[in-house]
Amino acid sequence: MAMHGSAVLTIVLMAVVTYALRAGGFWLVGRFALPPRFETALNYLPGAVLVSLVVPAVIDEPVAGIPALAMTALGMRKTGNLFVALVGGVFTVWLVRQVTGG
Amino acid sequence: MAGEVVLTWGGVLRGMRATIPVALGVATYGIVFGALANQSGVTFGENLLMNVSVFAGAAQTTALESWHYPLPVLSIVFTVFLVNLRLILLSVSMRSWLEPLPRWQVYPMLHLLFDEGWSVAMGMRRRGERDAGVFLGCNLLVGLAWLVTIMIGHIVGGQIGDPAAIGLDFAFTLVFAAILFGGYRSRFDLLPWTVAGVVAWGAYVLLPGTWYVVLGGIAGCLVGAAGGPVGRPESEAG
Repeated sequence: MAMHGSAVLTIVLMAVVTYALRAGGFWLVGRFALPPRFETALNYLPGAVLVSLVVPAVIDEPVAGIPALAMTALGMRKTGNLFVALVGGVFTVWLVRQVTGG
Repeated sequence: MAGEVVLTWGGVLRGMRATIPVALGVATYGIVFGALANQSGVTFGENLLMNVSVFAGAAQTTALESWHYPLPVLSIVFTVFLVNLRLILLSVSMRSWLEPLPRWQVYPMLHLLFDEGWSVAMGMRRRGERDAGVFLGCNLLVGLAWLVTIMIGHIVGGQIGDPAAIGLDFAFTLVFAAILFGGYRSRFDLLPWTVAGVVAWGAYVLLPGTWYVVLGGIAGCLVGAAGGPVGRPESEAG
């Protein structure tokens, strides 16, 4: 059960931040009325963060990345199932690398 | 909705039963995450601690992406904050359901608030369910599936070998992409997404660490807030 000091610190901070968000919405909504614009901004945050996470990995390896993204999008669209979409995408990466020898 | 809110074990069981198919999906992802955590150099103890205390798949996955010593603590924690910001909205949505319960029940329960469990529970509520035990049961089963399979994946993962050989090194990216595509609502989404992507691209080239996530996230948000329909309450892309 080895643990590094800085890892434990990071995990504890991650947990504090996450719980603050989980409990914070319930707590806050009884106290303040958020301006509608702020709520609108929050609506777009998860998507924007997800895009940001995806883009660099695709830039690093576009030959496998772009077809894999397309396959994942197709999987989500057809089944709505995260796992199915993921398997299709990973398989595409594997396939492209086999073909290109990358 | 005059029905009084209760919290019963019967409700917990109903919630768990309804969540079984979703939990199977979470479980398969848990195996992958556990293996990737191991490959990223997270120890078994650290992984266990993270899963019990943080319990947020997408955020933990982003943390693993920058899990290189010396750990960029601030950048990891801030990214976790950004990725989990959506939880505040799920939390807000629970007010109307959990309001009548004593706070000593509500606040521990909210620790288990998780996208998949929440969505099943809200679906049941829409069909007339009022028992808060359902919310607890849905999230509890997702949590158990997540915890158990991650620890299995962690143990097995050491023997998986090079994840790149079977394309698994791309799994992180594709999970995010799948969640993103699953959250697509309207054509307008493409505008903030594109801006976020372009900013993230530039920041990724120019800046160290994972600040590209922070800047891309904020940029997309600002564009969304400037042009999107105001104050739409329903929202989660991840």
